[in-house]
Amino acid sequence: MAVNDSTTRSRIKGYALLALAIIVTAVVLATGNETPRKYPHRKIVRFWHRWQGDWEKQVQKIVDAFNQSQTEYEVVAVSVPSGGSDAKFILGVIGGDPPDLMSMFSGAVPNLAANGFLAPLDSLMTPDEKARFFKDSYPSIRDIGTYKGKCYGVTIGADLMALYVNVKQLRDAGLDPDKFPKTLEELEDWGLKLNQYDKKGNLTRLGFLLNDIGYVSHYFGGGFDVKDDGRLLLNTPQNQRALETIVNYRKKLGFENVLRFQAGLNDIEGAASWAFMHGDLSITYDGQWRVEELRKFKPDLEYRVYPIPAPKEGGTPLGGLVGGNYMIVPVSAKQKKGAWEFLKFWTGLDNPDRAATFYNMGGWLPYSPAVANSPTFQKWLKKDHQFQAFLDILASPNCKAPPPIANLQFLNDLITRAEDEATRGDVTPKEALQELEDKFKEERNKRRELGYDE
Amino acid sequence: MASPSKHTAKQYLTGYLFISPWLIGFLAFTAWPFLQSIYLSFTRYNIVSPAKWVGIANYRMLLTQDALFYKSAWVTIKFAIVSVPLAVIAGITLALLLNINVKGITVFRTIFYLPSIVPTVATSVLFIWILNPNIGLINKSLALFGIRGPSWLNTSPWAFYSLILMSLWGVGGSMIIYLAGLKDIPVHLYEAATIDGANPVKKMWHITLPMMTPVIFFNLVMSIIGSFQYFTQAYVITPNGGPEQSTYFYSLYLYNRAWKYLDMGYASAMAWMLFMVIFFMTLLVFKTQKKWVHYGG
Amino acid sequence: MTSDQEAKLPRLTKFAVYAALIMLSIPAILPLLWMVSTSLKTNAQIFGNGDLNLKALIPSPLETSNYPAALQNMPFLVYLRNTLLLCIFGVVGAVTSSAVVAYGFAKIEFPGRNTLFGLMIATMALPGQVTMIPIFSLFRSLGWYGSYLPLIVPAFTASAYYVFLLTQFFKTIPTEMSEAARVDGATEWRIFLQLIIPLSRPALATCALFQFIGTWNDFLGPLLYLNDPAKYTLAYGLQQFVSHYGGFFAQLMAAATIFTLPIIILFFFAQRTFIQGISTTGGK
Repeated sequence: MAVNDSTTRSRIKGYALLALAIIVTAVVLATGNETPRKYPHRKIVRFWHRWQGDWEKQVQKIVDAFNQSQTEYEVVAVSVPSGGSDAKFILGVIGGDPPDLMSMFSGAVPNLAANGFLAPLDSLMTPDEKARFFKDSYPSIRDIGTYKGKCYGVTIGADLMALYVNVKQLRDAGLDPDKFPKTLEELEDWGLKLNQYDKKGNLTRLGFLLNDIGYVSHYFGGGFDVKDDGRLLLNTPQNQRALETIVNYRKKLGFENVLRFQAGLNDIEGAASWAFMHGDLSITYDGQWRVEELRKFKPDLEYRVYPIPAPKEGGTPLGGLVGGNYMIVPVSAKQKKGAWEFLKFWTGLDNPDRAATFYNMGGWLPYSPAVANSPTFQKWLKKDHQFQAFLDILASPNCKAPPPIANLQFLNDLITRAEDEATRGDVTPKEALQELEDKFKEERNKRRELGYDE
Repeated sequence: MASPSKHTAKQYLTGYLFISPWLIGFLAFTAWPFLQSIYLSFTRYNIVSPAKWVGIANYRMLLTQDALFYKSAWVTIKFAIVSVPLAVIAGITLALLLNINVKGITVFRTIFYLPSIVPTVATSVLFIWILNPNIGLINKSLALFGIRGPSWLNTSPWAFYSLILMSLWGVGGSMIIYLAGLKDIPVHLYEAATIDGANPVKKMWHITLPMMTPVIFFNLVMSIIGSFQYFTQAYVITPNGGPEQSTYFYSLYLYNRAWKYLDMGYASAMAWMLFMVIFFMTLLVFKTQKKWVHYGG
Repeated sequence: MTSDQEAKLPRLTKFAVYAALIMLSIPAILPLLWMVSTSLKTNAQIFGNGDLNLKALIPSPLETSNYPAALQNMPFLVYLRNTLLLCIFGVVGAVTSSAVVAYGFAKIEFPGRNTLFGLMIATMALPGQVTMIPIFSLFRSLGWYGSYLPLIVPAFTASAYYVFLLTQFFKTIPTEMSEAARVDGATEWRIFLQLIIPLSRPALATCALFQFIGTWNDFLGPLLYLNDPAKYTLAYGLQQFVSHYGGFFAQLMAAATIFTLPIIILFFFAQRTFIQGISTTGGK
């Protein structure tokens, strides 16, 4: 084999030059890789959130409005895509270089709070602000951010559910949408009347679907709760009744049929695949963000929004469970004061009318009646009067926040699983709830054994 | 010729020099995190507060107090048993087919490789869409034949089968490797066989397949490792573990334990148990190397 | 089956081959065709309950507005530049380091070789979820958080996957050749560069392709380590279309198509490199 030294040497030289070129290019490219600050002389407040697409644009407008309204701080917002955001947010906090304000979804917040990772927001408020905030806000919104008596999060963009009713389909079936059922039983009857089948007996249109036991239980005076003293309110008679109602109604429709429609309720495709929107569901219940989506994607659909009616006996009307984005401030944030100023601006503690614009942009629920009653909000409400139903629920004493426990996510998954098994007919409602409670107790014991506080 | 001892010493040094990039990377970026995660598996660690030693508690609880551990392990094993042979056979068959130099074969090769290129986020959303029981492509096609397609992702066992099908769909990646391996086979072997009067089937059996065994071995090992760690599609499509938890894969449960429930110590224990299983299986396959893998060297 | 010249097959076989190819490629390409056709529809067209026929696959009228909309919704050129930067570094780093390491494992006998090889394979057996935090902490303590370094440097330390793959290929090259070269007095490095590398172009090109695609598609890395939107990549931008709070289906498909197109083109033209026949059979 002939070995050619000079060729090798020149080849090596060639590679070295190439490497040098790459390095130089890289260095050149790598600079200029920074987003320029709009107000570089101001104190920076870094804000991470999870809103995407159009929603992100709304959030950016709010950020811009805040930046223009004062001269001390500049909020820089970064939108984090949902897949992997859990990891990113948590790593951000424990990594020691967190943003100043983050929007997190329920589950992890009690855990973070319990371990001293969040700054209690009430320590950032002036006494006057504190008094006003706790007096003004809707009870469930205030509760949702509270852990062991301190406020760790403010919810902007809280979520609530109510019924969406397809007016045309009701009228076609001879039902009057203005005389909406006052009891759950009546509603179920209506649902059955609205069902449509094809020649083979398959369901082609579903009149009404009742699901999500975590939510529905609040209409039966129930709910899944873990008290501070450790009492478990999981397998309660009220919850059992609620689950039985769900399961029985499902039986009347046929489990299989409902499954097929539930596939369409899957949200991953985004708004436009919603079964209600293309007429496959006459009455359904969903979140308040759908109001905006309906306006965007199907403005010609005539619909009403009603709170879910309570059952005839033992029902608690206008019940609900609030969920949503918590705005939290990590304890190691560098600009906590700025974060609170921005939060204050956004929620509308000082200026409810101005904040009303922000809430309306995203179709979000206001944090207090003061905002809801402000002129700007009322004006918007006249256009989108369907939203009123949500406000009614929000103001009701039966609207609750989920229990602030460290393994809330685990509990939620157990609830989902229980409902799934019961509605498929694998177990009876009673067994499902018993299993839920057993599994939760088991997990709690495991945690105690490992040395967790709860 | 250099004396044997000098030869060995020089080889020793050269060998290590050659593998030094990996060795450095291993020591710098891999070894420490690995050791740390072993340590974490013996602790209670919820990420946000310091880890606390609990001995083998995590492992004990996994094996005795966690039904979901066994369920998810079983789902994963089922998946591996079905998908690995399928993937290997499909990959080889496809590569053999695409090795035939007919006109336009480059287009076909691209087509079959496409599924591996499209980002998972798009393919997962796409599949959810296609498998939608009412407006999805598959059920609409079945309806043409008068068949009422099931609610694919919502019913067990169809959800599981859908995921197996989706994994098959990505066979193009291994196909490329097989193709590269096929091209490596010296043409003169075939020529000699033709002279000897062998037919295509004999050629395939005695030349092609044996010469391909090194890459088959590679794909087999990687398939095993991959299927035991199968996660992404399951996470995107059935983050709650699917209907009756039929698609609650081990890695999905691990992810939930780690990032949803913030139970990282427990999750680390789960990871190391998985590691042992994969390691053991891979070791087995490696031991069989001598029996069936034929290196040209 | 010869692979270098166009196959001279009898008509019937050719027909059978084409038939098989076409039949099998339908499931492979249909979802992708659907993706492209969806990207050319309006939302109303997508979710209308039309019948399934060819018309459904070819939207009319063609709604091309999704493409500019998708492009507008993210700083496309910036993301593209960043992605290319990472890809180039990734490919150069991964291929060179992996080839070098693979040569060591495949062609040099040294004590501890098999153990280390086994160790390397073993590193692939641990799910990445549980090492995410230690690795993150490591990079943070090195001060690399927020920069491209965590995404680039590891590429230069050889990946187990490529090393394993290349080892398999290198092992098929007969040892007699390297032995002969050694007798001639050539150093290992020279054997590596001048003998093994030229004979392994298909395998090396395969690694390069995989690394390019892997980096192109990687979104978790940028997500975790980058905070400045000016540094984000295309994969990250694509992920932003998919979310609970406002994904737009048609635009997502348009974005996904834009995202995938360069790779398809790359693959189509690069095919020749790694599926090139080794005509120098005498050299083997």
